[in-house]
Amino acid sequence: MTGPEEAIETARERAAQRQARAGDIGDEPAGLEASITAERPSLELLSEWSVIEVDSSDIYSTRRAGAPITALKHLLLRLLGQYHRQLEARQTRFNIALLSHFRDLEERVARLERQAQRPETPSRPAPGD
Amino acid sequence: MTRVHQALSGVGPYDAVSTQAQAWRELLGRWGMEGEVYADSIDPRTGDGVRPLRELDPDPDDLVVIRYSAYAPSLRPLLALDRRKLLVYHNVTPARYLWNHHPGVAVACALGRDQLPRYVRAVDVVAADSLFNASELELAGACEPRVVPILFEPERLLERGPEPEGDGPLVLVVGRLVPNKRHDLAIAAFAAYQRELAPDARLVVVGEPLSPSYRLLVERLARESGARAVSVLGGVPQPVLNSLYARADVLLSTSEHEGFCVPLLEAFHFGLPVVARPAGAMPEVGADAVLWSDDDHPGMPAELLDLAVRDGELREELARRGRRRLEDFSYDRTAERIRGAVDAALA
Repeated sequence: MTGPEEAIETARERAAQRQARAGDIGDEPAGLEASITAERPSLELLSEWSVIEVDSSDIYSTRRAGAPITALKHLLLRLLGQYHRQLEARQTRFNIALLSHFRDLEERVARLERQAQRPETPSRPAPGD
Repeated sequence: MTRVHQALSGVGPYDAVSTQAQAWRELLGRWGMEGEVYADSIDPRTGDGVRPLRELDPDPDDLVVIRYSAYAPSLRPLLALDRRKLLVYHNVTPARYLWNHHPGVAVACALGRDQLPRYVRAVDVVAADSLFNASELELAGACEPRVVPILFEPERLLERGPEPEGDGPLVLVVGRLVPNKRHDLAIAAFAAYQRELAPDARLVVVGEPLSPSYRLLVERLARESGARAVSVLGGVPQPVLNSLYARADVLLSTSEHEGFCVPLLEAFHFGLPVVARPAGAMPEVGADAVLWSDDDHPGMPAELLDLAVRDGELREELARRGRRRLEDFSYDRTAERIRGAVDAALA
């Protein structure tokens, strides 16, 4: 009989043996790992996000007979496209400017931290003292 | 007469929080504490029985249960309400899972976690549906939060839908199609299982998708994995899910962040073996009745799927342990806990 605890150990061993053999049981999952961000997104990611581009496929209806409603929403988006492009451009302009300021501040803080960590050189007496 | 009203940020047709609200309403009604369920956002597919949050107008003696699972500005005025209040925390998904997939939901989650301490401070009693969630409440400043598990109703699992077709071992994955459930890992594990151990195996993925584009992403991951016979069904009515549970050979969960995981209890009800990742609240719900795979490489869950499908004695033992877990989460036991939390909030 295989009990659950025994089964877990058996599976672990079999998986390790299979992995050790040339024909590994599975490749690295090419999945969602890369899409899950760190607790604090990187500056590169923020830069990517700063450009507002709404994917129209995310506009939909969850109603039972939602297809015509989704089509209507897409039509409205097309009709209001000019307005939305203006809106996206203005928001993107603000985001990029803000990010640029933020980058400058980060660089400045890093420079100041480096200066603060540098050991103080003893001041030489001025000639003639 | 004291009434107990429940307020939610949103309700959907298949989500656990909405189902819990309805189950509590029924139970509270039997105790003579009638009340309504109110929500800010109501999915059009949800049946009757949920009222818009703006209509909530409790009497002075009434209790308001705030079910918290995401940020919703419309819930905030309730905090200032001069009524008895009970907060039930169902967990809020960390935003890092969602930023790249649904910024709108990610914002709601980020704000939801940030605002939790305000809710904790503003209510009379705080409760969570698992120890895992209770520990997050403590981090938010709660003092000794109560643990009130999900009210599990076996009657919901009786009605059956059409019998699923096909032969070969059926692996079932149940849970919303959202990034923290890590369907990519489940697909990779199944692909390895099918490739190496069970060429005729089938995978059925059930769960309401985060968005249509996220569902397409999961379907693409399945195609790229090389696995065959994969069906991504989306959300399905309970009778259809019940038939799948009854027909399946094993339930697989590779979720990375779980506040409770109702499908574990549902699988136990059907005597279905479970292979899962020991993440979030799952170990406290599943305990020794689950085949835990602590290796993210698909090899170990694939081997566990094989053992769970083929080893009859192992299946029997898991089913026996599953029944024991169901006793721990029985309707009457949980009802007692609910009564304790409600009475404490009304005291």
